[in-house]
Order: sequence, then C-alpha cells, then structure tokens
Amino acid sequence: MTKDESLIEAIARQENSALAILYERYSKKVYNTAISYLQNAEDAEEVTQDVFTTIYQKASKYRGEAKVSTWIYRVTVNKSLDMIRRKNSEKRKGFFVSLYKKDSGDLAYDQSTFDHPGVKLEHKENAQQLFKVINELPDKQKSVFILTQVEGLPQVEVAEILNTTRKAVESVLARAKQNLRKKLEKYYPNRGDNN
Amino acid sequence: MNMEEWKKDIMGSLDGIQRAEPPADLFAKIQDSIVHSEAVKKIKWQLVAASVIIILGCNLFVAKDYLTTKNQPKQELQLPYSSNFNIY
Repeated sequence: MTKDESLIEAIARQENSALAILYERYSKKVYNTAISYLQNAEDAEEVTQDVFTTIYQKASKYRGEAKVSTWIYRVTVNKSLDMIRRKNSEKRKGFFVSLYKKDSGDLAYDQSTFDHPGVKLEHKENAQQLFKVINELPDKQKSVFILTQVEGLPQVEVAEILNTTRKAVESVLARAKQNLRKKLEKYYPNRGDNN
Repeated sequence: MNMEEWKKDIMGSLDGIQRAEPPADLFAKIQDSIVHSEAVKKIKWQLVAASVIIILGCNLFVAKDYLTTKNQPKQELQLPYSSNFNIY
C-alpha cells in the first residue's frame, strides 16, 4: 500500500490517480467530520470538495511536519468552522437577504433537527437532541467533542490536529460534556421527570 | 426515568455511530473544480502578463516621445502663434 506521504508527493506532481487513492482513503473521514460540524449534507459535500481541492493545490507545500491524516483533519476542521462563521454572518444579514430558498421556499438555514445518517435507528431521536446542543458549544469544545466522540479519534491525535496538548484536550472534553448536560437540562427541563 | 438517566441516554446516543457515505459523484465534482480553478489561475496570470506588457509599452512610448522632443532644435519648438497680427 502506498504511503500517504508518497501520495501527497505524487499529487504535488499533479498525478490525478494519487488524488483518487487519497480520496478513497479519506473522503468518508472528511465528509463525516464536516457533517457533524455543519449538520447538513449539502454543506458537508461542499466542504469535502473544498478540502480535496485545497489538498491538491497545497500538496507541493506539505513539508511533513504533521502526519498527512492530521493535516487533512486540520484542513477539514478549519473549513467547517469557516463555513459555520459564514453561514452565521449570512443569517445576521437576513434583514436584507432572504432566509428562504428560491426554488422550494424552505428555510435555507434550518438546523432545528438533524438526522445523522450513521446513527442507529433506536438512537435517532436522542441523537437529534444531542446534535442540537453540540451546535451551541464554543468552537474548541465542539471540535474536541466531535473529533473524540463522533469521529472516535484518540486524544493524542486530536491534540495534534488542534495544535494543543493531550491534557488540554482531556480538560476541554470534560468541559464540553458538562456544558452539553447543562444545555440539555435547560432545553428540556421536563424530560426524565415523569416518563 | 429520571433526568440524570435521560441525559446519560442522550450522551450515549452516538455510541456505535456508523460513517455516512459521501455522494457517489463527489469525486467527479472535485476533479471539475480543480480543472476550473487551474483555468482561472491561468487566466489570472495571462491578465497580469497583458497588463505588464501594456504598462511597459506605454512607458516606452512616452520615454521615446520625450527623448525625441528633447533632441529637437529649440527654434523648431518656438514657432510664433500667428504670422499675421493685423486682425482687421
């Protein structure tokens, strides 16, 4: 099997077959990370496209300081957060720009319920409520929670992706979980009382 | 079920989550976008090159014109406005 580093070198030489292999290896990881952040399949598709285009364009600048997987996750996290910021700023301009899609009339920024396609059927409803509160976490807590709990990455790798220490990841994760529990209680004060 | 148990259930709802499949045509879209961005980059460089050539051309023209004018004898440049001052 070709090493990731060799693939990046080949991509830098504009070999499309190397990009295809890298895509085969990482597209699911990139798409799933993006969908957890953006909670929308179309946006996740756009970010995935953007991530692989960036990899193709910046491959010649890759110096191997971080693992290729770390680099790809880092690009994905940054692109996803950028898109969230852009969407939030568009929402603020809603006074001037329509918040509804032209063709269907649906809300363009509706994130009230998100069904992650990979969640088990019996957990769908609970996962919807969890994703709703994940959406409200600060960027760092959101990143740590998504990468460790949804993507299932080890804390050491998450620390490399976010350019921090494993200890910091551990403490941010604890804070994120605590915040999620608080938010769940705030949004659903009557749940768990009598059923 | 009390609140603590309910929260535990919610927090555990992502256990065993499967990876979602990206759309089948996504790689083709990525290839298209790469080709498109390469083309845009090429056009940008062509525009930059054209602008540089135009600016250099204009400068050469002005410099050549300036040097030609400078080398002309002064008398030629000081022609009278009119040779006939009798207006009536």
